[in-house]
Amino acid sequence: MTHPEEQLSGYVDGTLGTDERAEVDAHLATCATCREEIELSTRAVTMLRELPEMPVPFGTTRPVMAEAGKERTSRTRPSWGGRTQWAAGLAAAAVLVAVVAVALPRVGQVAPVESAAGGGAQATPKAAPGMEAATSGAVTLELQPNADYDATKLERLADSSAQRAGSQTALAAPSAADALAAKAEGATACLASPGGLTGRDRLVRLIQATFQGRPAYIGVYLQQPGADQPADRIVIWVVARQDCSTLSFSFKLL
Amino acid sequence: MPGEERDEDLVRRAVDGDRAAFGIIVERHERRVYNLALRMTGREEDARDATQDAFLVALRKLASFRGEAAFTTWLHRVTVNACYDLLRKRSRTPLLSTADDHEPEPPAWPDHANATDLSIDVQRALLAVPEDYRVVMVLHDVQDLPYEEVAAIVGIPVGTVKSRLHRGRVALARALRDGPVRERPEPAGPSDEARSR
Repeated sequence: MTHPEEQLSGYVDGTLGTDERAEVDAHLATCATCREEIELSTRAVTMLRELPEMPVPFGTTRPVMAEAGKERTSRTRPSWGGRTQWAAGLAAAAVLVAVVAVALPRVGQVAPVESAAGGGAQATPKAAPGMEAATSGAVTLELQPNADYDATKLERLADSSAQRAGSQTALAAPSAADALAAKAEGATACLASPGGLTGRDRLVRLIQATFQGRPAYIGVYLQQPGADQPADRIVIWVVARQDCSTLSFSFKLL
Repeated sequence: MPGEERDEDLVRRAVDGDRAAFGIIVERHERRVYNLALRMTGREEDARDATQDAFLVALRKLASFRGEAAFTTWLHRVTVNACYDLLRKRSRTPLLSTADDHEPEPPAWPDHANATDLSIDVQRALLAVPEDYRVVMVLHDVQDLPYEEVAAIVGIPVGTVKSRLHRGRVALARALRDGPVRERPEPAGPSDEARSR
């Protein structure tokens, strides 16, 4: 027996015309399967209609607005905040800022940006350190074909990068393999293309992996709060390898 | 809605570079987009990601929106695609995990603390329904959109919407009745082939 599946949903919804309804009723009189399904379907609809509408969690669309801002005024810095919301809120951030204020002298000693800009007094840091690193191939492209990143792993990456920021040698590892240099150029240009980088972002790690299954470049940057100040945060941009679109943006205070 | 600017006008302004206009679009639709994503993915975190992805895609493709369909239809379609992408990625993730990644699979149900027990059960059962059925149920039964609009959003004939709706509802009620949905929230069922799209 063929069952009038298309009409059964309308039967439950009460959208059938009189004739159609009579047809279905005639079928139901002889079909126990459809009678059972009508009963199940009615129960399902009742429960689905009662599912509550949930509020949108705070900050969900913030990265979207940041992106919208970048589209219109490229090269301006996006408003801070990441889809992963590492900073546990403004209050926590305030505490962290206080901690950073104490910790900064130590960070400053090892941050080359600080020593470079420190000598020049008010001089503008030569060109834009972030962009320079982003195009100079000074950082080796790390190929991690088997690594798939997500918010949790990005946070771990931020932590490990923060630790490496403490050992100067790892900061600007010279590009060892020339073959990779060209690829690194492409990757850094890709990361820079959405326009979110500023002159205060200095590339420290460049990774080719996947992000939530999508082929991606991951750029880890140290960012200075001002031109002549030591870096105070790790910023991670993830862009799609295919079209350089932004997949994720997050940051962590050092 | 008297006094409110039409979506299509806001889109035009946004395409012309008016950031505020895009902001209004996001504010106006984020609740619907988020709830669609939440019911499709079953997890708050995934719903947030899908919401962001949907709006980012919408932002990027805004200029290609030609007003042939209603803006909400278009935005729903973008959101549904973002959900499918995310669900596909999530189902693939374990294969790509590295050796040191032994975190347990996150629970496949919403983590909203204030959701009622029943709605949590319904949400879990919903995840047991194949995605292609789930999407028409969420759009029609949860979000109250008419068959024709669901058809336009998903890109299938109205008749197919109706039959999927019926099959999905029956599958949902069976999942709730038969359980144990609590143990294994993985999608399962007779129409598994529908998921391999």
